[in-house]
Formats: sequence, structure tokens, C-alpha cells
Amino acid sequence: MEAIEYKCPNCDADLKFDPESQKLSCEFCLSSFTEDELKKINEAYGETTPTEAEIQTQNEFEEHTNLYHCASCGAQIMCDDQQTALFCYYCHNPVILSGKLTGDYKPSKLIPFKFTKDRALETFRNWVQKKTFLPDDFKSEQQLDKLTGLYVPFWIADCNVKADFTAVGKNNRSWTSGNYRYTETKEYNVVRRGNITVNGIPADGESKIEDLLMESIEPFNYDELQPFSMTYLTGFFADKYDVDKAQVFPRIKSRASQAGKKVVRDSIGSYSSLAVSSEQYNILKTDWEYMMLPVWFMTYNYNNKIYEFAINGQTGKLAGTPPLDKAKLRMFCTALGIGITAAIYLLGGLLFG
Amino acid sequence: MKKKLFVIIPVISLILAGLVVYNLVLKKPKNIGKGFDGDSSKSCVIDDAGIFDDDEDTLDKLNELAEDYSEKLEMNIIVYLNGIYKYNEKSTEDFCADYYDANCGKDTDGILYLMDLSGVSSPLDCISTSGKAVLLYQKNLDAIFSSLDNYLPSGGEEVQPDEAERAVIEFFRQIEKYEKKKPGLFSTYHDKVTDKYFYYKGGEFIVSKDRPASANLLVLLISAAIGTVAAIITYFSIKKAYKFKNSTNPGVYVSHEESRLTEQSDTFIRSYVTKRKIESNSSGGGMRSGGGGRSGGGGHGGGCHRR
Repeated sequence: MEAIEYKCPNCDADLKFDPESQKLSCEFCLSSFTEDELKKINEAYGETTPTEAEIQTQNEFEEHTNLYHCASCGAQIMCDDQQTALFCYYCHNPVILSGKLTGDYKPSKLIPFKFTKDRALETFRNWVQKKTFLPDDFKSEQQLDKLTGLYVPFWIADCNVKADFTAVGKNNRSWTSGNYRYTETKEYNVVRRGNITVNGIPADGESKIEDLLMESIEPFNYDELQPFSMTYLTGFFADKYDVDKAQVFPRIKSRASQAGKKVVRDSIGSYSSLAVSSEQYNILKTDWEYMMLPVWFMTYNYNNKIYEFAINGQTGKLAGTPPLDKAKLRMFCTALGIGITAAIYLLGGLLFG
Repeated sequence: MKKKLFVIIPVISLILAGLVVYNLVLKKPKNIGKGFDGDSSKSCVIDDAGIFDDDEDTLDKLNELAEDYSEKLEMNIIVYLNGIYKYNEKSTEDFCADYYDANCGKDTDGILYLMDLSGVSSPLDCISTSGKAVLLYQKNLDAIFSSLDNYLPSGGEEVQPDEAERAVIEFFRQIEKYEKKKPGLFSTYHDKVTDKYFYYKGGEFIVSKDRPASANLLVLLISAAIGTVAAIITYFSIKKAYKFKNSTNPGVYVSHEESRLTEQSDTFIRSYVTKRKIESNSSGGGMRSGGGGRSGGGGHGGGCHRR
């Protein structure tokens, strides 16, 4: 008898039979399906076979991509065989060539770098200029040299979200008559149901880089997506993903639900109060695409903490947590406190002396 | 500009702090106190009531004692035995202060004790202090009066010469006793009428219109509290500004063309009215008026006491 392996339509993880529910369940996204449901879904969103051109690109990827390994932080960097990676983009320690990559790591698409390094540096300098309590060496040229052009692996998800929302909305109106304050309350049953489509939610497949950091430099303009070609890697590094789509699905699910919630909440008029009785956002179907997105990336080690900075290589949007020189800040606040104390004291002396 | 502020603020703070230190520690107040000129002959017992008319020796002895204590305590001491009750509390105080100023000079160190021997049902004794005596005795007036009450009969009864003599001697003892108990480091007396401050600074007794550092202690503490709170708020608000900013709202990925709310209803359920009685707040209050002051004289402390 032939063993049939079912994949989750949401996150592509292997489905397992759950004796309790008598359904096939996904342990990553907690979805469950009957065999009939799965067949219907697979029929509706039928599998496609790779084209000949795609197979050729995959072979090119395997032959011309070198993989480097950082012994210090464990990062795995790939670049084309025309250049040599010397230092890790993350911890700045030397990296060593560890071999070739298999075609599984080849992304289907990529957004090429549009924001040059000079512009990225200018954006970074402008951002730094507005911060006063940064460590001195954070602004040094040596630190700025660490800004690296990096193609970050991303899982991009298109989701269909089923929204089901019910609540009791209240509107109040008040007036005064004689010695009494009257309040009229009108109650409404608020219902919103429907299907919400969310396209292109990205989730990075690199565990070293903070998820929030990558989410903060969004959105990317997918209109500029190009089929993957090794030529785009020239002069940049690329990261090998170490988080698969099953692992990023909870993030995608959460963000898709947030998007659905926004649509629902935006459709509700202004009530004085809203008591939600039920609110559910269920992901019906997820389509995945693995691609690489351009990011100017830099890290800074301060007081044994790594601060990460990223600039969207397409739009120039910057994100990061500025390192705070607490000693500088403490000195400033002490001086300010003394100044205010002295000013009030002297003013008090003038007024009451 | 913002960056320059972070340099300017500490510089201004340092200048202001320097001014405070100068004001508190280095600035020398203008001392208008005249001190004691060493002439103990101004110290005496004035027998206006004539209680020692038949006993000149006792009066001489008391006068000698007044001079002795004057030399010892380095201040003028006048005891005025008043025979005719013609003043109320306020004018008695004024009389004592004026009498002292006329005989010993304004803002000199000294004390005047008026003993009421007029025989009225509620005799009014009074002590007027000047110069360092203000600081030495102001807080101890009740104790001094209370001690003198042990030697003087209560209202309506005639005071005998020996009772008056013992009371005067007790007065000398009392002022000697409290002279030895030097006032505390931050002890200050403020005469609101003449707006003069009486205090010690660096071992020197000062009478001045300049507020002493100790009088500003409360202002300094309040200022320091406000300064500290402002510094803490600034610290945490700047620290907050160095936190990570929010990530992109996933709402930007919604495809509005493909999304559809199949059910979108707001159905009226019910309405109801509640009422609440408005509480009326009525407040009452009164006025309190203060008395007037004596102007043109030296700075005086003191007070009156009914036996």
C-alpha cells in the first residue's frame, strides 16, 4: 500500500493524523482538515510543476554560489563565486568557505538593491545626528564601514482570512433637567463577517536578525520583483535561511489576523463603547513564496549587547534601537536637575526674599 | 539647535548653581545689628510704680545686679516696674520697644522686662527683646513668664516689695539660663513688621534684611525636589526615546479589491435612560484679619503675658 504524505495548505508542514479529532492536524499552525477538505483545497489550488527555465536557474544557483560560515556567531552567508566574503556581516569576525548550496535555497524572486550605499550612509548619518546620547564611537567612520548590503531571505505569504466579529455597541447621550443628569443609552448588535485577502506579508527566514527589525523597514514594493538571477548578488551578500515557512507561520498568522482585525474595526462606526462578544480570524489558505529582499544591515556591540540597524535597500526606510550612553544622559539630567533647583531657588529668593 | 541645547543647559545650570553657592555660603549679609557697646550703666531697674520708695537699698542692689548681668551677658537689661495700667497689649509692646530704643539705641543687644504693678485684676507683664536677645529668648518667653509667675501674685492682689524683688532676681537668672543655651545652627527669627532677620552666621550675630541661608532651607528643599523630579522625568523620557519604534502595521498588506465583508450590520437592540441627582457643593468660609505693625523703630521680638 502506497503511503500518502499530506502537507498543510497553510504552512506546508507535514500533517499528522489526530486520533482524537479523527482529522489530519498541523502541529505548527494548529489547523486541522479532513481528507476530503484537503483534496478539495488541492484541487482548487493545484500543484504546479517547475518549468525548464526554472530548473536551469536552479542549476546555475547550485554551481555559482559559495557558502561561508562564521565560526563565531554561526551565520551562514552566501555570495556568488566572483567575490569572496571575508567578514561576517553580523559579528564582523572572519568567515570561512564551507562549500556549495543546494538548489533548495534558491529563491524564486528577488527585489534588487535600489538604494545605494552612499544614500544609506547619508540616511544613517541624518538619523544619528538627531540623537545626542549615543556612544562616541557609534558615529565613527570605522563603524559606518560595517554597513553591509545584504539580501535577506524572506517567506512571503498571501492569506485568505475569514473574519467573524460580533459585539454590542453603545451610544450615550446626556442632558440635564432640574437637579438631575439624564443619560440615554442605545445598544446595537454589531456583526461583521467576511473574507479578507492579505497579500505579501513578509517574514524573514533568518533567526539571527530581529523579526521586529525586519518588520519595521517594511513595506517593500513587490512591483519591482525580479526573477532570481545570480547577477543581482554581485557586490552584495546573501543570507541562507535557517527558519522554514512552518516556523514563520505563527508570525504570519498573527499579522494576517491583525490586518483582518483592522479591516473589521475600520468598518465599525464610532460607538461610545464596544463590548466584543466574539472575534475570530481564521486563515483559510496561505500561498507561499520564498524570495530575497535588499537590506543595508549593520550591528554595533555596546556593553555586551548587539544593536542591529537595517535600512530598506529599496525604499531607504531605517529602523533600529539607538544605543544609549547612560553615563552621558545621567550627567545631563544631573546638570538639568541642579539648574532647575538653582533657578527655582533664586527665583524664590527674589519673590519672597 | 537641539544638540546645542544639550550643551547650553548644563552650562546655564552650572552658572545658576554657582549663584546659589555664592548666595548660600560666600555672600556676606549686611549686618545692621549694633551689638552691645559694653556700657552696662544703661542697664537698670526703673521703679515707676514706687514700690521700693521706702527701700532704696533694695532698688540699688537690683540696679547693681542689672549691671552685673549686663556685663556678663553682654547686653542691655532694663526692668521697668510699671505702676499705672494705661496700655492694652499692643500698645504695651510698643511702649516697651520704644522705651528700650530710646534708652539703649535701635538694634542693640538687650532686653526689657515690664512688670505690671498697677494692681488691675489682670496684670499685663511684657518682655521686649532687641538684637541677639531676640534670637536667645523669643522661643523661651512662655517658660520665662511661667517661672516669674511663681514669685508674683495673681491678678487683683497687691504685689509686695519682696515679691517684686524676688521676681526681678528670678528674671535675671532666667535670662542667664537661656543665654547659655545658644540657639541652633539654623535658628532664625524674622520680624515681619521691620522685615529684619536675626541669626548667627559663622559665630557672628547678624541683624539683616537679607534672608539667611537657613531661612531659605525650605525653598531650597522644595526647589531640589522639583529639580529632582524634572531630572528623573527627563531621564526616563529620553531613555524611552531610545527604545525601538513600532513595527509596520500589517494593515498595509490588505487587498481591498479582493476583500469583502459579506455581513455588515448594526442592529438596534434597545435603549434606556438613567438619571443621577446632581450633588450641589456649597462651601463656606470666613475671613481672618491680622493686626497692624509698629514702624520706624528697631527690630524687636518679645510678647506679653497676663498673670
